[in-house]
Amino acid sequence: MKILAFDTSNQPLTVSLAEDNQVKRVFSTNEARNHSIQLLPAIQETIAAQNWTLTDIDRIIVAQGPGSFTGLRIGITVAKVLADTLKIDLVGVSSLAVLAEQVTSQGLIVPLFNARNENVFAGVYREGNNILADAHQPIANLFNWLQTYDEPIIFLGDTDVFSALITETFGARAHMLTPSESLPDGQGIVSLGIQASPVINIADFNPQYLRKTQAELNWLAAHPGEDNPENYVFEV
Amino acid sequence: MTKIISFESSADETSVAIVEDGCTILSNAVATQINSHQRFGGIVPEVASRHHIEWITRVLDDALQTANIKPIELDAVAVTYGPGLVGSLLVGLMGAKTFALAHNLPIIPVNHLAGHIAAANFNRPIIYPALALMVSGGHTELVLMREENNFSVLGETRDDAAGESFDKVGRLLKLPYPAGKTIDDMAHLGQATIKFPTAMAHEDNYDFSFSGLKSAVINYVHHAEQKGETINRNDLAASFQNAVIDALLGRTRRALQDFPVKSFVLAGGVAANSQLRQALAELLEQFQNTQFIPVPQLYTGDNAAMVGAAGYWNYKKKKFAGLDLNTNPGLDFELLES
Repeated sequence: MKILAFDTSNQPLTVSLAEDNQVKRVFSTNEARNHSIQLLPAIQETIAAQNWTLTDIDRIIVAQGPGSFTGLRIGITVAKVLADTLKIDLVGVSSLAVLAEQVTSQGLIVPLFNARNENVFAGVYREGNNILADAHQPIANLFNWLQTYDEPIIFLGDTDVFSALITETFGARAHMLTPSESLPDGQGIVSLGIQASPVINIADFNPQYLRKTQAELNWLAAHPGEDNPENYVFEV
Repeated sequence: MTKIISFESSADETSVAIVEDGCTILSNAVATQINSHQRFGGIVPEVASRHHIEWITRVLDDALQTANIKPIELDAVAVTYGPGLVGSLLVGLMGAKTFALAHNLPIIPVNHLAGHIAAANFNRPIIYPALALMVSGGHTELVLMREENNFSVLGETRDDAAGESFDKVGRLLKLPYPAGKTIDDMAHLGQATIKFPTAMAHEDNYDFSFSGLKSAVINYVHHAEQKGETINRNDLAASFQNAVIDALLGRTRRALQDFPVKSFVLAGGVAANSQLRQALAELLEQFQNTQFIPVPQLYTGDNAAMVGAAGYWNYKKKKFAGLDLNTNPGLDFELLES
């Protein structure tokens, strides 16, 4: 099975090609450039360098979120349209699980993304299992939950923002990978995506934002019981 | 026969169309988010972007199915890359570039405003030189086209767009968003009894201003409320709409006098306004050598068919873009060099 995988959920951009679980080629950059400019040329060039064509691809794996809302939409629009128009199987994986998959540890693994205002997108993983579901949450809540365990913890992702707080809270029990040590390596996404079943309805495949917009939260609070998502968009 | 598939997602409509030779619409799938944004009284950009990605493959599949066209039969992919909301534009742009990569088709970048004007070709072919009045929720401008695909702005609004003023007055009157159609309907039932100022009528240029008019309407309503008077809402709508149309008409007349053109195009969302169409048709009777070509009412709002029409102009000149094409949210036409 030939696999095209990509992750645009945060500043790093990773495109990888794999044959089953064996990664053949990885394109990766952490430059602060627009994914909208870079992603498709990167896909085209990576596939050409491997002497493959897009029609050879049997499965597309994309990081589905959480992460930058815009970044997610860039990757997922490409994944949806490619899968739809070339009839390729499509699989989405958690952007946090991708990072957790890259770490070998028997303790707790906590990938996290800074969501500003002392909030994070984070999940807790242990030996490949997501034992605290990926969520948007105040970092204090995450830390409270982690304090009910006494295992070693590895933090990765946007650790630089929270490193003082992590050390203060968990002391020697915590180990941190820097952001540059936490870049998606192109292998984790393949290992995860190869095990999953392809999505059945590509149109219904969308980013896992894990957070509603502020406008919607305000509206829902003011209009309890009136939410009617089926009615919001229609073809004319 | 050139078949172009086109993508449009600059605001709150997700649309894919297939157009032949820039004038024959084979399909035009449009998903509108109007019911969603009505909750907020206007477009919320992040909500709009989320809806676009939910609908992009649905409208793509519909456009191909309705036209009964296979990707192999297509010649190019056209896409709106600006102006518009960056998050909204991105979904259509990435969708279009991906489709082009998948099927090895050239990418045609299209200016959304050129798209609105090109939709006149669905009425009858634009004859050059031409003048266009482009009126929408985001733009109000007079555009000179010396030849096909050549645009110079003669004048534009210095503050609110005409469509924006309709929405702001609509909010004042607690009308559902967008308010243009409702105000047009109310105006038909009322009389233009209130004299609102027509801004800049005597200035020596082709620019517009609508914020003074909007303030005058707000002051009128507040004044009446303070004195406990009931206002006739239909008369207010008629008076407001009259003032907008007077302003548009005055500037258009001046431009038509100064630039003798063979055709005059009315385009943009506000071009759906029945009274504006009527008033311009009457004005054009005074310009015997100029044909009036309003965009058909069905295609005045945002749609991908218009992008296919404008895309064909670029296609003929081989104005293509690479896979690295990015959005340009502030894209505009050049100002006329004086």
